[in-house]
Amino acid sequence: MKKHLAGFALYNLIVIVTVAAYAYFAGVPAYLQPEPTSCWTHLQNADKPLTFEVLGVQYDLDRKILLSRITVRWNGFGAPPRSLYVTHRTGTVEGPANTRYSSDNIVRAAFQGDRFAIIELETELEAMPLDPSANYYSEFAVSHMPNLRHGAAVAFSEPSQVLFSHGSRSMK
Amino acid sequence: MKSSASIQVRAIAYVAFAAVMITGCGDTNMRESASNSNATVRLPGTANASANMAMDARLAPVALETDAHGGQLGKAGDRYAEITENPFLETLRAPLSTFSIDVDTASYANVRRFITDGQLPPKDAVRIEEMINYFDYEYPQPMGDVPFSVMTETASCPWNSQHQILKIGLQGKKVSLEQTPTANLVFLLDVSGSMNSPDKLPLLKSGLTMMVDQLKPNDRIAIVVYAGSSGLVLPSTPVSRKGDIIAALSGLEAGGSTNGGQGIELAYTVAANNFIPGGNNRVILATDGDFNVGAKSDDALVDLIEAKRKSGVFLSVLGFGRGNLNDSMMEKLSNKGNGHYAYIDSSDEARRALGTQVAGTLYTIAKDVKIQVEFNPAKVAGYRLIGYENRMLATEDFEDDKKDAGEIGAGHSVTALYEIVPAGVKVDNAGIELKYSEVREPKGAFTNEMATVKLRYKEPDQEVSKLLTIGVPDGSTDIEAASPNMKLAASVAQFGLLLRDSRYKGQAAFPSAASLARMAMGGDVQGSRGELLNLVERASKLTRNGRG
Repeated sequence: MKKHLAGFALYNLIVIVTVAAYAYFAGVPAYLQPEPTSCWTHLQNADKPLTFEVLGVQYDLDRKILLSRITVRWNGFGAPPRSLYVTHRTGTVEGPANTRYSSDNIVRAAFQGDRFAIIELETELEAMPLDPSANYYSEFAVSHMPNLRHGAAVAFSEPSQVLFSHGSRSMK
Repeated sequence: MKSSASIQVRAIAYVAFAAVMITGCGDTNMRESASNSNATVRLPGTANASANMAMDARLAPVALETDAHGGQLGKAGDRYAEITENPFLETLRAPLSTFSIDVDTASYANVRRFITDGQLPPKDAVRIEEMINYFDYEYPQPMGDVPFSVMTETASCPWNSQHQILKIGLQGKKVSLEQTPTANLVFLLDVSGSMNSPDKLPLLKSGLTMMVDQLKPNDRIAIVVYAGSSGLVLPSTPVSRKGDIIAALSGLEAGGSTNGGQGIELAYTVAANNFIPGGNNRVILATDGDFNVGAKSDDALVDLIEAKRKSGVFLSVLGFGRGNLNDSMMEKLSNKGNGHYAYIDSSDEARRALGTQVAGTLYTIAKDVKIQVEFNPAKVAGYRLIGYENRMLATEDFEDDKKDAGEIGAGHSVTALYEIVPAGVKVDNAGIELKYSEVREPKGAFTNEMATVKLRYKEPDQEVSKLLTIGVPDGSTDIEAASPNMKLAASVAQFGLLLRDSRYKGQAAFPSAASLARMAMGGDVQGSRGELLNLVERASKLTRNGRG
């Protein structure tokens, strides 16, 4: 009887050790792993206190104004900042020759107590209007500190396409 | 203490995992099981039917019932216009692609009805653009005074590894019904004998009652019916007298043969007599499409609707029922009437088209919306527009404001997909060698751009179009890394190519379409993406079982 019990215990031990070794080396299959939660995302972004996504950029040819809409999320510890600094550069795919740089736009009270905000900007390009025969792309930098201070390198986003609204110049 | 508990939990998990492994439930089965458990779907007419297992269990009797009817569905009286798919075009020979937008969604609901009934739809019932446009993509809202936003995305093509897909998405401005102009609506309802079926007149009455519930008190509704003869059931009545409108709807009964032509004329007369300048003046035709019109031919009917559209009265069409559906006629009428064509196959669909999306059904934010894409031959050897076959326009039509095109309703999204052959890859059915002229080489400017997308639209009350342009940079991502919207559109397109047994389907396969639909699930608040996944899986089984 003791031999049977010992054999059964040994069998169980072998099974458990085999399974544990498999799980350790192979890891838990990806589809059984939980989806990253917002909390995890928050921790991942701890080194990026501010993240943003450009929802759209549009140029009004009549008014010579660049409109942009950006979602911003505050991932940092503590309350969101009172002011945000947004700058952008807008050009064609042909290189920097046609690029327009904006100064820092200061957006005050963007978050209004929340950790998420949608900001909309209007930038006048009266002095250097965009050429309607070309396509333009805008890159943005959003920070809780001035972007252009001390001439430091600004981390711009990936380029976003600019939708040209030709308005009164729609017809040839 | 805490770590010991953690070890215990892990040990139990390992033992459980071992049990699963030992009982032979392999990786693949578990994967399917895990995905199935997420797939809670809402089939038409059912409340939260969950999981494929339950659906599969119901599939057999539904299929048998359909067979017992002798293949009436789709084969008996339903009429579909023949679709000749757009071919691949070489960019050097045809750099411009021009078409009108289409916000109709009827084809998807109709395809769903077939598959739910255990039958594959006829090829010509599958209009891929309407299937793609059935889904809500929630693209970002427009800015400034432009009524819709425009965005593009490029990714690898799931059914041809050498190709790419270019997605062009438009999102109409959302408008609450309170903000819409006062409506002067005339319900033109088919009460002929063919409407005497639970999925026709009763569904029509409940759907329109839902719509009435959402309208403003000062909106007006009249009801015209047609069968053997046409008649005014309810003169134009403000929605503040909702009881009278609902009583009139409730009292409708089916009987007699159809004379749609007379009914349409009467409906337009009622609409004209109560015309609201600057308002939303619209006839809403609800029918199974059995237009056995007397003196009026189809062409005369279409001419009448075009003439009335120019007078400011638009036409929307709601299709009902099966076996007698004149799908091609209804699509044509709504196109000519500046309206939207929806197919109502269930109370869920009625709730969607006439409830949650009623603002889009009723309120046009931009009309005559045309798209023209100029491809860069330095980056694109060839292209093919997927769907929109009956919306193609000549190049010069883009600039011609007299040329009619599609409308976009409040909150509607429109998506168009191009299959792109990158430069350096051979184009399927490339053009033949030219004897008298040479194909022009690219200019060499803007070499990092794939294309420029141009759009023209008119404000609902204007006759002069406005122009929008946007560039598409070169480069695409892998479809697996693309946005959920791109995956969804690619899944639906692939599903449509398979249902059509398209000559352009390449390596398209139901498991690939299902996999993309699963990856595009996201929040899926409306349940429509889960429903797509189940339809793809059911269609795959029907194909294997040979139920064409």
